[in-house]
Amino acid sequence: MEKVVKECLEGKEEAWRLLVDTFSRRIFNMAYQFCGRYEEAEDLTQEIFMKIYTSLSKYDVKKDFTAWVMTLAKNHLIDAYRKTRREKSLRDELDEHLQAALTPGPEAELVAAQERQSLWQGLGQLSPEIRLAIILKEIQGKSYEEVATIMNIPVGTVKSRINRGKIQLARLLNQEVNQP
Amino acid sequence: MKCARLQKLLLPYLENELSPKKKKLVEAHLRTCRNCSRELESLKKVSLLLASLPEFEIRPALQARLYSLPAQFEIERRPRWHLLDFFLKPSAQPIIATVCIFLIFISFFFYHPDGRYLSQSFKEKVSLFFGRIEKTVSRVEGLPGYMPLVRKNIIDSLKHIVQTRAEMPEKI
Repeated sequence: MEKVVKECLEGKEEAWRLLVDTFSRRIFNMAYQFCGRYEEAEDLTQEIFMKIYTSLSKYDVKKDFTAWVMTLAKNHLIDAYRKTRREKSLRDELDEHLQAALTPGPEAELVAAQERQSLWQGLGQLSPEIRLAIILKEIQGKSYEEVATIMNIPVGTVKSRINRGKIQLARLLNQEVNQP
Repeated sequence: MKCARLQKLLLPYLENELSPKKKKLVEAHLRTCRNCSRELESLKKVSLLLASLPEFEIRPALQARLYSLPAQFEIERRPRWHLLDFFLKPSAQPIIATVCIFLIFISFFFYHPDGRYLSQSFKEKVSLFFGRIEKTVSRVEGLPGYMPLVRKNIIDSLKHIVQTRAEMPEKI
């Protein structure tokens, strides 16, 4: 990756394309799971890549590049959330992309699909720090140590945030189930 | 063990990170507390549901935008020389020259090591200038009293000239 970064700084188009191909899907999904709106996630992804491009010269080659990219993404998502906090209460409820991906096949899947939908809505009610920790660990499958590096916090704090977030989500899910 | 304490241990219990002693305590509590065992089931479900959330492919349009980011930056970074055309116009050159001279004087005044003495000298010159103006004004103000004397003098001179002219032909 160090070579790719160097070539990007030299202005080689192929290197930049490789970098986009490697991280775009991951960053877009992280942004979408975080903000819950497809178009906004696309804008956020573009802004994050602009930040990556302008900050490449500051990258310290001794550090893990993936963690550096994800930290930039995380910082941008939280900054963007804080700037427009008032508008963030609603996530895409009937988003066509989400619906297409969550449409169940057999009837047995119907309940699980509804629960996934409730969980998707519940993610929006978590604080941004807890939400990001859960997205990185539980959805993107990173280890506690990786999440701690990306979020620049101790592993213990990551664990407690995830614990709190999951308990909150479990309660939200139970409320949904108990509602008529 | 109280329910509030157990809730902190539920996730480590699920991830098998507890010591055997704590694990036994948690299991003993779960056997007796229906709420906590229900919460454990919910946590398991949440973990499964989170892991089953779909991953999306990005749209080709977004990918194309991301690919073209360096080119966009190059356009933005390109120097905008056309903005300097105004300064290259012949009509603007006298203005620029005047501004430059003015700035040079200003710089002498502000940045010269002896700026303090320059400032003092400038103040002296200004006070001298105003002193001269005051003197001139006071002289002009004194003129009305002086004018009758001047007039009388001129009239006397003219009379004298006329008299001498009248005497001159007789002499010839």
